[in-house]
Amino acid sequence: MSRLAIALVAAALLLAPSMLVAVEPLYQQRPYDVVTLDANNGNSALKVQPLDMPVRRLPPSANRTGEIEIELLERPGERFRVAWFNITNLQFFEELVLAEAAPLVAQGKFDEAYEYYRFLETKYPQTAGLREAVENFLWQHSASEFKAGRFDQALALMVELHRRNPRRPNLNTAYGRVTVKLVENRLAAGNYRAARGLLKNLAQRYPDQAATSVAPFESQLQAKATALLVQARADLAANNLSAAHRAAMQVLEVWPAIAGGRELAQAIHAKYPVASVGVISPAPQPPLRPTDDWAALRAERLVYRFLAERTATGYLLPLGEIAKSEGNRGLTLALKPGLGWPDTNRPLSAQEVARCLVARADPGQAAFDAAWSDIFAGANVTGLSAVQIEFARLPVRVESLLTIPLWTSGAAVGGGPRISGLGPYRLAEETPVRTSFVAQTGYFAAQPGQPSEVEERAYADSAAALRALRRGEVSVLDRLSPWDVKRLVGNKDYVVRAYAFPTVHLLVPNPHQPLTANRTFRRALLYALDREGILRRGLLDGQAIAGCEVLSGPFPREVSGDDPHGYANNPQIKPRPYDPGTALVLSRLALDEVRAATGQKIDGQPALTLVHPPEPIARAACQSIARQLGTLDLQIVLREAPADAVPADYDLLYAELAMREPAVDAIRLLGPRGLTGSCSPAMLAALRELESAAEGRQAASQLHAIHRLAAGELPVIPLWQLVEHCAFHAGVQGFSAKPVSLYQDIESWRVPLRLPSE
Amino acid sequence: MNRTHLLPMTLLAALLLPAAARGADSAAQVAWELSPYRVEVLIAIDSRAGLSRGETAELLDQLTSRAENVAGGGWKLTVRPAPASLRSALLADLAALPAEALPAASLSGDKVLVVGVKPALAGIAVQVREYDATARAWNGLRTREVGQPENLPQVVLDALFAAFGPQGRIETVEGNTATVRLRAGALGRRDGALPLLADGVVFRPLLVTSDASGAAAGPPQAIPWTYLVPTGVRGSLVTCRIESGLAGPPLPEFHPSQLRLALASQGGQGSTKLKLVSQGTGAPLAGYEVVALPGTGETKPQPLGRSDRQGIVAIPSGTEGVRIVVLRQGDEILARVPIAPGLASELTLPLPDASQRLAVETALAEIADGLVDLAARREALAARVRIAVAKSDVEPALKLVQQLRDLPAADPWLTRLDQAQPLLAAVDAASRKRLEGRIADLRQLAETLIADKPVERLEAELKAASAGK
Repeated sequence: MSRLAIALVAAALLLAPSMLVAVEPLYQQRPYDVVTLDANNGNSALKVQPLDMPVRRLPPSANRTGEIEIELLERPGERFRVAWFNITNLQFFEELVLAEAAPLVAQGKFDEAYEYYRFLETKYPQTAGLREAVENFLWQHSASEFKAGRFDQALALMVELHRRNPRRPNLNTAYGRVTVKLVENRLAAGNYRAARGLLKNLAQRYPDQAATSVAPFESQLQAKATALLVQARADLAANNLSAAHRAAMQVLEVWPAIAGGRELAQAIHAKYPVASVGVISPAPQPPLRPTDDWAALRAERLVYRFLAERTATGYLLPLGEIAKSEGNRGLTLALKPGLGWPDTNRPLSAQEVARCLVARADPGQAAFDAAWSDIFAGANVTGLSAVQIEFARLPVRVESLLTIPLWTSGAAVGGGPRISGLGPYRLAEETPVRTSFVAQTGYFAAQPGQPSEVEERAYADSAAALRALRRGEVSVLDRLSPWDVKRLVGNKDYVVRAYAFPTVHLLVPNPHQPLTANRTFRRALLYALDREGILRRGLLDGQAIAGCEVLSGPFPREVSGDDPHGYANNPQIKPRPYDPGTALVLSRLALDEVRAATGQKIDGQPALTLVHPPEPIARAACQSIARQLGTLDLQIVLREAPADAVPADYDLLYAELAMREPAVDAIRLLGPRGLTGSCSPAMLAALRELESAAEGRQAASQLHAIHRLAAGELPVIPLWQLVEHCAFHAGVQGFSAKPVSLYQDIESWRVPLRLPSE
Repeated sequence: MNRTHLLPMTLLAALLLPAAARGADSAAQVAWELSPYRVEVLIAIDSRAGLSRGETAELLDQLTSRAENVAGGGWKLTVRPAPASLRSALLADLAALPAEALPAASLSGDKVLVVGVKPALAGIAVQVREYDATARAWNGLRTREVGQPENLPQVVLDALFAAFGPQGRIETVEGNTATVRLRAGALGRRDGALPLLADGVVFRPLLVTSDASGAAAGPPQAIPWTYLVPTGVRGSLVTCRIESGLAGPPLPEFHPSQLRLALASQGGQGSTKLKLVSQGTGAPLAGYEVVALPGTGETKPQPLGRSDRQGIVAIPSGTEGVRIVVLRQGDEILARVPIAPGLASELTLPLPDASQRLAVETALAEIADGLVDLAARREALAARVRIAVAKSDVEPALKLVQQLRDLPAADPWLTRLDQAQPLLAAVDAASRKRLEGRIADLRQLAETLIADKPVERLEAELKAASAGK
């Protein structure tokens, strides 16, 4: 028997039954009743199949005559008769479950207890004492949350308790105390709408609290709104339109019913239209280098214009024409006439274009792109507005490498470098909850009526952003979480639009950590993940969205036949199935291999750190992934980190990739300087073949080979692709039919004012 | 009595021995140890260095006298200004000076030391490089700077001795050890503090055809990728560790018509570019991992990076004159070569073409994954069947047994192994042997899985268990 076979058998023998079947809570077990016999029968407690009784309660002693028929749980099919006088006690399954839940409440294990009560209310709603037990659970739980300072949770539990028993003693007082705490918090955070809502609910549920708890807060809000209205009028008069807009909108937030507030907001918007956009991840100053960060990809179109820009069907060349030059090793870029730097009106020179191209190839520059530096040979200015670009070799899809922003730098007020782009807007203000981009005067492609300002408002999650859209706080919503898509589809007031390119979601194992560097272990991870389940039931919440698919490799699949991105996906490679048993055997085998190879002691539960972006989709997915990988006897530690601050000691990294041009993105992901951090000799050879592909079909064929190789080596663990969506109010005009990014056609946007509704 | 005095007495004793007892070898050995080097120094001084004609003449005189004071009878020294035809090349880029540029007359000696003196930022820069006429090889560049012009003669002299690489004759070779006898080693040096060999010096072995008198009579033939690293000096005998990247014994057996010489060399400042190319096509090999094995005072191998798109990786100097460099591609070690960083600006190392090996390795990895996964699936399902039976869950147990029956067979993997076998023919010999072992392992695993009947095995286990009840 080979060493491999022996190791496999050893790994399988290590599998204890308990590892395949975890200890289940009582309500998840096969139901049974317990019949306790008298001393003559050794006081035995028999587990029996649930007794078939019309009312599942112990009959009064007078009625306990004759015999009952039982079937022992351990001897299915055999039935026995037992005389009532031999029975001293009878415990029904639901009573056992209820009894097991009570100590959990006492111990503060509310999440565990909740599952017991949910089971009983669903399956055994008639259980004696259940209603009182659930009310007690809610009361104890809310008290615990209040003590811990989690007032939102405490209030939610009290609302539920109020629904079940509004007259429960002391609930009115407790409700009032929690509401006051929350209102104070909301006002401190500037969330006036929420504060008003809380006060309204308290007054409705417990009118006796209105005079003491509600009225003082309402007076405070009215006074604030009046002061803001005065400020907004003053800003309008001084032509300080951005400030006037913000003050007017805040008036309506604080106290919408104030006289003259709406009219003022409308007047300001007519002079200074603002597009309010709800986002989950606030946009940073977009980097000059290529990025996969969703927020940066969104914002870069506001600040920069690129030599080539991706569209749903090809590439747009907004700054000039590009032609192949003689010898097939170069391109000639002829700039459009009239291009200039916004605000200064200084013309864009060919030298500045050449400088941007050179900076893109310089590892010391912030704009550096390794893929560009591999092929870029030089740039020569051949006229006032013409640049000759030379390449070491001309790749098949060179336009994708020309998605290069044109920029210039100067000194910022604070002393650091200030990067200015050719784009329609500049970053004007940045706070954790609000980022403002103000239109640049002299922008070459400006259109009359386009938003004077784009204001991004950040929300904790898609649901909160969705509420903001419905209330009118924002008119556009970027990156609707997939589970929220169904909430807007079919609603005539809103338009839900799919982005042209799906995002590809992967786990990147750290090649420098012993466990994740092991090929067998990576395969174990893949088998352990119910990717279909996480995608369909978790992320999509049961919806069927075309194009949201589990992947077998790093490349996106076609959503429809004419998709420009599906060419890299090898349809012959099928996703590996979910198979937790196989995963467990493989992980044991891999642990043995790592122990033998490194001499490291890996005892107990090895801990793996899974790093993911601070963003709802990644967060939800990683929570499921961590739970499922726990079945491999691994301890998964979740850590949130933005793309530019990923710690070096991660074991697994959750990555969302844009993958708009797989022929180039494959090298950025899997190449020697790629996201994977390592590149096997076979992968490197395959990528070099891809680089030397002479035409599209050859490149696609090589990408299929790379897909196959990646499915075996697993430098990335493929998860799924998601079709991303944005949404906007039906009144918004000029939106792209199939946008690549949110602001692709920002110049065409016409955004009417939406007044916030209650 | 110091060693300078001891050596001539030893020689005297040897000379007094009867001729028959000494034999021809002894005579050659004595001649070698008593042969001084014929050294010619060609010096070019940039007029901007600020030396007057008189100071220049004074420098040449002082060099001759001081060098004789230090080297004693070991050097027959001539110092003269570089000819006009050589002067500009000497001052421009000494490192790039070709041997053909040296005057033919100078090459009749043993060593030519070319010196360039030119202005530097903080004084005067002195560059010296040695050309060994026997080995027909350049040594590393030595550079010195001097602030005060009056110190120039001493600084040039230091640079001359630093650049000078003694010649040696390989006397014995036993396993990994060679002894080298130094030329002129028996001739007394006036400066006893001057070591026979400087720190960090290594020997480059070369073969030269000899005439009847034992003198070199043909072009030298360098032994590639081989260095002799000194480990001990006793008199004029130097014990060396042989470091070679060659597969067989790098140094040939003694032959009376062949001189086995060793030229002491010292890497210059900086590093050597190692260029990896395909043995077949000469195409650059990118992405190969290069690691230096630990030298003196080091405990861990030091990664030096990967070869770039041109196949180049820089080898910087380490703690010893020679670094042992290992070239890897994935888990495969492709070569282990010694390199004296700085001695040559670029070295080219041809390596076997990896494409066929990579194709076979990729195929075998896929097969291994398939077999291991199949075995794992079987064991996982069998474990679940046992658990279901233990819980009396008959229906689920039967379903699991059916899943076990439905698992794919191992035979197709055996077929794929058969298909992979012929591909080995195009793989280099060293890798082929390793891959044949891998195929044998996988074949054994496949055959084990084919022979194993998990359903029958499980049924037997279950029967035995129920009989035991």
